[in-house]
Amino acid sequence: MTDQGRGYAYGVIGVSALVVAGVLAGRPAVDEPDAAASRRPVGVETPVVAAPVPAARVIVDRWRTFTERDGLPSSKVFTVRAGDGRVWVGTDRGASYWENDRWHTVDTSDGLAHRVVLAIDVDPRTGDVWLGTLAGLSRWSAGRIDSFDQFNSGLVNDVVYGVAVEGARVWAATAAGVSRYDVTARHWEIFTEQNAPMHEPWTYGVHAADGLVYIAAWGGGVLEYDLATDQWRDYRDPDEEMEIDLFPDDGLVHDVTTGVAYGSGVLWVGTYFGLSRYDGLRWSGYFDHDSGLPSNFINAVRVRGTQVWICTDAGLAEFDGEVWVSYARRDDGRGSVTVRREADAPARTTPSAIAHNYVLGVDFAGDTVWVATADGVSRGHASGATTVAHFTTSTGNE
Amino acid sequence: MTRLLASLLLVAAVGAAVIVGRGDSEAQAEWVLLTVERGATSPVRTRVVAQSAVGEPLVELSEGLVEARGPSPAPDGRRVVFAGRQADEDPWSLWEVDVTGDGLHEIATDREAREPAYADHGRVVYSGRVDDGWALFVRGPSGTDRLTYRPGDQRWPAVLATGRIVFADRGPEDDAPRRYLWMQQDGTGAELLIAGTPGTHLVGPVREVAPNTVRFLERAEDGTVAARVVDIARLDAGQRMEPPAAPQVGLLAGADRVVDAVTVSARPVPPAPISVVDPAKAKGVLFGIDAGLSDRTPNPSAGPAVALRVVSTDGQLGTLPLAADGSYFVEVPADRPLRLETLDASGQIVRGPSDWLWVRPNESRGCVGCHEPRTLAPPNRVPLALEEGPVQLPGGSR
Amino acid sequence: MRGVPRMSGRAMSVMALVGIVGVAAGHRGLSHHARKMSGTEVASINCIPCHVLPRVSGPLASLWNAEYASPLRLAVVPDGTLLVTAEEGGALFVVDPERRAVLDQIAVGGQPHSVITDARGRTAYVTDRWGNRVSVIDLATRTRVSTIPVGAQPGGMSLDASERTLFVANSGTNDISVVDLPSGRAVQRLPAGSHPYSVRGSPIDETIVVLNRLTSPVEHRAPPVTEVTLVDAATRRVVRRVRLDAAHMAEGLAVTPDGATALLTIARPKNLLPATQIARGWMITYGVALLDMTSGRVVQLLLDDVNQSYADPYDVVLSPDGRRAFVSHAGADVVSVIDVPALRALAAAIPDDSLARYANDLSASRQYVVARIPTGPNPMGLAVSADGGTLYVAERVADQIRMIDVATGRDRGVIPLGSPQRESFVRRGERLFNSAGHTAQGQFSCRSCHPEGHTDALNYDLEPDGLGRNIVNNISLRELSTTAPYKWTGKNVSLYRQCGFRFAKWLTRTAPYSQRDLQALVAYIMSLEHMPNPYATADGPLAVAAERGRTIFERAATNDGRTIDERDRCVTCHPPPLFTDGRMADVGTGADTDTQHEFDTPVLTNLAGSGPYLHDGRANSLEELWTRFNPDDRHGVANDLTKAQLNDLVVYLMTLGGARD
Repeated sequence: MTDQGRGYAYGVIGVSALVVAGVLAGRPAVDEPDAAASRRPVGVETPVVAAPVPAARVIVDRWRTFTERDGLPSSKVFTVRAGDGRVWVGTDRGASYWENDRWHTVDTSDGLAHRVVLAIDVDPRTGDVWLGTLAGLSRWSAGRIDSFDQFNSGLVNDVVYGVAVEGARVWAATAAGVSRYDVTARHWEIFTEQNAPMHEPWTYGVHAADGLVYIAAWGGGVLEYDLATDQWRDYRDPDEEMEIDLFPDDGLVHDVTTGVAYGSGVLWVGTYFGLSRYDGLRWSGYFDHDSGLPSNFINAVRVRGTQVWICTDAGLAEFDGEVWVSYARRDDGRGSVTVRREADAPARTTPSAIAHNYVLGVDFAGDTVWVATADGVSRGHASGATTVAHFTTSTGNE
Repeated sequence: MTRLLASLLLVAAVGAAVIVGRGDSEAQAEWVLLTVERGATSPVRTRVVAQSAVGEPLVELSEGLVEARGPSPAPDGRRVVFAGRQADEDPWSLWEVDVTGDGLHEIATDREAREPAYADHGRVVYSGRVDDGWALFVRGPSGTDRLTYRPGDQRWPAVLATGRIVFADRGPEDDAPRRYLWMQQDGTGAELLIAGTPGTHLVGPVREVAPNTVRFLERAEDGTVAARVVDIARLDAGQRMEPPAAPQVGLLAGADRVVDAVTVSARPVPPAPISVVDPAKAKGVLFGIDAGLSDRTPNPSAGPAVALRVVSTDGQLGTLPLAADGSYFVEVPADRPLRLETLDASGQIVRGPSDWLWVRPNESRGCVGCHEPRTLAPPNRVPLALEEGPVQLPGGSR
Repeated sequence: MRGVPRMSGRAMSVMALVGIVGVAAGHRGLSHHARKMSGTEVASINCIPCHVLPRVSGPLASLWNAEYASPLRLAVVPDGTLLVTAEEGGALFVVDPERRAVLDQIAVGGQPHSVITDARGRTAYVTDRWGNRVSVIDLATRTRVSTIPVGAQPGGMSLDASERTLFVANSGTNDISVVDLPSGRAVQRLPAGSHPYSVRGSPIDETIVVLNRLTSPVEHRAPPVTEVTLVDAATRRVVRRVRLDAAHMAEGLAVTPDGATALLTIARPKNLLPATQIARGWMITYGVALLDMTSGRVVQLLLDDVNQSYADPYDVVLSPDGRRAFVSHAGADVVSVIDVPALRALAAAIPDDSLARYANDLSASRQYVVARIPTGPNPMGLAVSADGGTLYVAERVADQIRMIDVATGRDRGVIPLGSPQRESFVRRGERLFNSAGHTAQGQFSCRSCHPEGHTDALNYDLEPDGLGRNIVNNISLRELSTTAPYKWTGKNVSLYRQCGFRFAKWLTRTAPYSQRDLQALVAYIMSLEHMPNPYATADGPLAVAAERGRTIFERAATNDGRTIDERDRCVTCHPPPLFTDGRMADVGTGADTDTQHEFDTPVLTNLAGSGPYLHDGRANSLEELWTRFNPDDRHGVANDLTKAQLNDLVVYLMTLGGARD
């Protein structure tokens, strides 16, 4: 089998994974705790966390949801990214961006490599948008779409799960390794197990920040690429792929990593078995039973300042190192907010909620939070009426 | 009929003489060729003389011929060709002579020949009698080649500086209008050039008075004659000129009078494209981009055009289907008059028949539409019919 | 003593005889060589046209050659002086039109292209296509004060309103360099279309219009689509990309004083149609596109007449009141004068569903072309004097600037740029190359399809080998003097043959070139050089990857150790230095529509800028040669390569051709 052929095989696996994700997404929210419970690790300690956060921290309590009825091409939203004045979402029927109070959709008829858009990043220097699809990498640039695939370009594989713009280069995490494209030099590079400590070339996420590029390899832990030295290093779960994490703070909680985020000197890693944090000195693990994490099944993580936002199959959470805030949708369509410092405070109800508890992505545009879910994308902001302090100084719902 | 022709010729000649008198680019000429009517003969008899300047002695060019007319100078500014006959019962033939009167000799033709003009490389194009009218021929070192294949008359060839031949054409019907067509020197690419002003009749040949500018005469129903000057690059309606005044020649004997005057000066030999005609081949190719593109009104009782019928003077050659985009591609017998008509699914004529056309052996003719506006350049797309290959007619196979 | 002269006489006789025989034999042999190499039977072919006259450099070249300025583009300084880029003179000429004198020549590099100045006329910026940089000129001292590296083959430029940012079109790298002038650095690259060429700023806002010259990549056998890239100078963002459907070779650009309309010069090729004829716009038509700067609507209208083409519209400028536009036709030696209000009125009146038909209407020009002003040979860059009274025309191969009265269209004479009066043989060929005078109805010049001797990136259906058959990709003419045979079918053994009888018969459809003109034209083509290859770097990641790619290119065994037959190795058919063996090969790429499946092995140097690829141009990228069009390893054994190896091979190919200063 040629490499191209092998790539396809991986692609099929990737699609299967998505189908699984879709099935999960379609399940009633009430099933989710049980599903999560079966994957719950045991024997963990409460980790030590970073700097304290002012109690005035506001809670996102106003949500508006957009679905197909609001102009999205599909309500199955895999990813969301805000940048350059627009908010982009990737769905299973094309990508769409929010501009001038409406959604504008691009699909294969516009040149998009495939209708299923799994990852998006925006080039802050040019405003160009890079979209990872099931059949290649597309660049949207002021309305024109150029698509790169494993046939017409040096892209290692057509199934692109993650995209990150780093300077003049674009990184693509694919089902058969990582591609790096130097847009100016028109130079494609490939990182696989052949030239990087990539124990598994099925890569799921990529994040670039502060001179470092992190790769989440599905089954291979996390890889770190130092742009200054062009050197790789890898981070693995000392327990490897054991589904129970014997020593949660000894390293990554699991090698099946799905998302990475880096900011303020801290690396966050999402896995299907919990959240990992690495500050350069020590690792910490977070799980649903001992933290504010709604579920150990993490689809994506995203850093906002000193906070990390975690997208799980049971809701959305934000964590600043001290206080957890988690958002979920109740069966009646209203929202549920839970705050946890050392223990859960009673949940509060908000009149609006995220679109669905199966959350696949989150991003921020100023004060606004955008959340990609299995049944629409939600735009949230804080009215200012609810702060973390409310949970510790008063009781009862709004 | 002969009388009518003679009178038309007379009018044309007078017009041409006026053109000389108006000081065109021809004013730098060294010689003037004159067709002079001999006194009061009946029928009208003419001779050809040359004069180096007004007042200079006349040089007889048609010495020994009972009748001669229509002198045409060669690009070298020395030789002259005209039509003449040695006796009343002789057919008209071609005669060549030096402008000084030396070396008069007959250019053998196999038929009655008139209105000669020099083409490239000493070849002479002329109108020759054919069974059903007149056609254009070219006589050169390698023999004689018939150039035009339309029913009716093709007369008065004029060779432009660009090498193209402009000639007058009239269909066989009594009321058929005369129009100017043009073609390459090998008879390929013939098409309508100037249709003339409605309500007038074209008379005589065109004269090229400046690069890409021709002048010709139009006779109105009331018998008045006007010259019209048309820029054949722009191909607009042109400018109407005042009726001609009598030429100043002098030194004419008795009742002789000038009926035609042509100046002689050396000019560049008209370029001639290398002929694509291959006499060894019996067919040529017609292809059209969209048979539905036409400025003719379709038959209101017919359905959409789906086929194209090719008709010759002796019946139908065959029918071929139009491609979905209206294109067609057909091999047809060369050097035969052809007409095209589009048919609907039931065989009814949608548009047509077209004007008569022909292809030379090995010629490929492309058409934008069928009787489309002549000012339209073709659209740039691949005609579907080309993908199928040509239909062979007669026969109909691919 | 007596015997000696007798012997000597005999010896001399013998020697003379031998000499005569030798010379005769040598002459016969050389004549045979000349006929064989030229593919012609013309007796006048000798050594000189091929081996001497094409040489434009070297110690003796000045004997038969000369150096010419070749004015390309113009800018008017507020003080009335005229700035002229000398494309082949490597300098910016400062000209005083009043005195008709060249005041100064400022060296600005290998191939100056465009020049602009700031509003007050203190600083000029000049792009150097050869050196990939912008020269900053202090106009007071007429000195170059700095150079700023930008992308490859920079062409047009524009300043933002604050004159702190310069936007530069990089035609070699298909992007726009954003130059921060205070720091003197290019800080950003914005992706453009294909071959961004001309740039103009809107007079009323921060919109910068970038006109791309060539078609963006399209599906095989689809019409060209050329992009206009609109940039917001304030945000340094591309804000809109406008398609010029069915158009390309878009080179000239002007924006009306009200900022409402951009006027773009275009060619509309008919490359998808069999070239059965060229009259009535069957090969190429030429026109303008009106771009509504607000709505993005494009209206294309022709400048041709029904039976006369005006080939190669190159530049367009407007009178200060915006009522007249002047378009230089580099191949027709004419400036067309356009009534802009009439043009705009017509454009506004055309309904959207009639746009395609109007774009092909050869009679429309009667409504807005009010004059055709004849010029000297090869008119290219245009400028209007500050007072609006004079139109300046850069007559490139005549090395002079013509002045034309804007109000009357009258010729006011020329400003010679001091080049030699004599026209060298190669220069004569260059003039012929750029002239449409040798095609029926002036339909096209060699340059129409081979801008600067390169390629227009289109695929053509030429007639003699069948309608709809034998589609051929247009290739570059640079550096091909030693790469015979010619044509993809390899049917022409020499450029004399290529540009000779059959070329006239099937393409120009008029009389062939005279022998002397043909020789001059061939000499010029043989003198053409590639631009420096922007991907040929001595170090860096590209060089490392290229070195890995070279080993793949030259490899003799597959990844699993099987020996690759010598015939199936890349380097066998593509040996250096030009990476062709000059032979025919069937690499499995023949299409059903191809009469023959063996094609001339192409040169691989400077490949990155000459796509699309393969004989019929079906591959838009190099990768596709192997991922799509080599399923059976007939185009070299490659299916065992990993994707990473393939990438290295592609990088190696992109770097072939070498960097030059």
